[in-house]
Amino acid sequence: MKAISIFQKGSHQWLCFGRDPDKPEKIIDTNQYMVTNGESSIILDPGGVELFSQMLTSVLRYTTLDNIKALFSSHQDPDIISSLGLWDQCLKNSKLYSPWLWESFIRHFGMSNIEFEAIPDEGSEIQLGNIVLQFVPAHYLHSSGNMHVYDKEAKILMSGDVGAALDEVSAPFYVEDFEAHIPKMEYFHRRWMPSNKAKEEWINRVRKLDIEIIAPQHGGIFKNDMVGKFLDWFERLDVGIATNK
Amino acid sequence: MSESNDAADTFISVAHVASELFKAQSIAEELSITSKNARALAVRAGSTAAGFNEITRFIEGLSKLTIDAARSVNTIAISQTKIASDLFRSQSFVSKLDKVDYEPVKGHVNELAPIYDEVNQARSQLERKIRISLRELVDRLDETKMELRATQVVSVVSRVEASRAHEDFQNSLNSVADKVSSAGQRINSHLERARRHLAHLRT
Ligand SMILES: [Fe+2]
Ligand SMILES: [Fe+2]
Repeated sequence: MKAISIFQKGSHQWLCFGRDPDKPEKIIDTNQYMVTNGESSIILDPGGVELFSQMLTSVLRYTTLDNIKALFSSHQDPDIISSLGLWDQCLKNSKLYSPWLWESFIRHFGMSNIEFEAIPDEGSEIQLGNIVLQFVPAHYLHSSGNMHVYDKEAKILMSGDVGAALDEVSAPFYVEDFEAHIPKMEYFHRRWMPSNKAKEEWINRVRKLDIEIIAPQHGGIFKNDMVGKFLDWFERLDVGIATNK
Repeated sequence: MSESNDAADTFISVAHVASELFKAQSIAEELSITSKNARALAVRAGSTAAGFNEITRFIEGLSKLTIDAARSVNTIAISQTKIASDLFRSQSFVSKLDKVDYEPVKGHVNELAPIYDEVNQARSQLERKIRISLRELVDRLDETKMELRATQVVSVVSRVEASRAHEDFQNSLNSVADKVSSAGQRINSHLERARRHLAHLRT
């Protein structure tokens, strides 16, 4: 599994883990993020069971288990958090931040040491070292209880499945050519995202944030002018295409 | 097989045992109805089938024995499955940990060592629990099998009683004897099958 630093200022760092060349073929490639500030780290969307060994390997290169104060799962999907039962056996005093809606479901992955911290529908925030991370509501994008993470200092929005692209494992970490990137994300958004209304609300909320990086859970990361291009594209996109015909 | 049982294999085997016992239980329930019919028959046959009351009590006892055995096997199986799935989790956790490529920085503590210790401890505790409860399961099955041998005796006695009874009742009494012996055989074969599911496990 590869790792890149997408932000670093003093002891404040964002790492992205992914593009795992050893990943089993039929498993969707995922980006896992770790935000560290001083002695505290949080892993965002820690991923599935199948990637756990590679993830733990990667994480231990940058932090200690003691310093992993929290996990965050944007929603309940297996590619997001099915590794929970395994993390649970490594982390003794850690918390899992996740939408309240999913607590009784996520517990099915096994959770006896980690403490569940329910994020209310309107979002909330946590202190990580001396920075604050905000949990920003993104309900119905795609999950009915869904949160993103915004770091005001780093100007990064971790956007879960929003901005996701199904790409090659060999693809670069950042989106370089937006037009060429569209086909890799169009069907995903049109099919997985159920509601134009939810999408519009989210766009309005996110446009008020100062964002330099949108970091999705699959595929390339949007940086600088790609951020605006993505928001404009997503705003125009008609989502929720599934029918039962 | 290595010194410890594979967790997934254990709970699959135990689930099979429980399902065999479930089948045995429904046969025993049938047997219980047979026994009630036999009792009514004995009343009608009157003094000519005096020994039959004794037999019906015996059949009831056997049917209760099987039902009880099935229930307790089921209870053991449920707790086994829970232990085995915990064990499965820790075994798969260890196999994931084994794949972690980790070298503690010189002068720093090995962070994974205490986790290994803990999970290994939990694992051997679970393995011990599994072995104890497997032993219990095997004993319970063997015990039930032994007790079931009596069904054959009952069926022989029933036939003797039938021959003594008035000929109006002979056919019915013989059919009770047939039912008892066939039920006993069927229950027995389920118990044997259950036992075979456990044969390869270490107790
Ligand atoms: Fe998802
Ligand atoms: Fe996803």
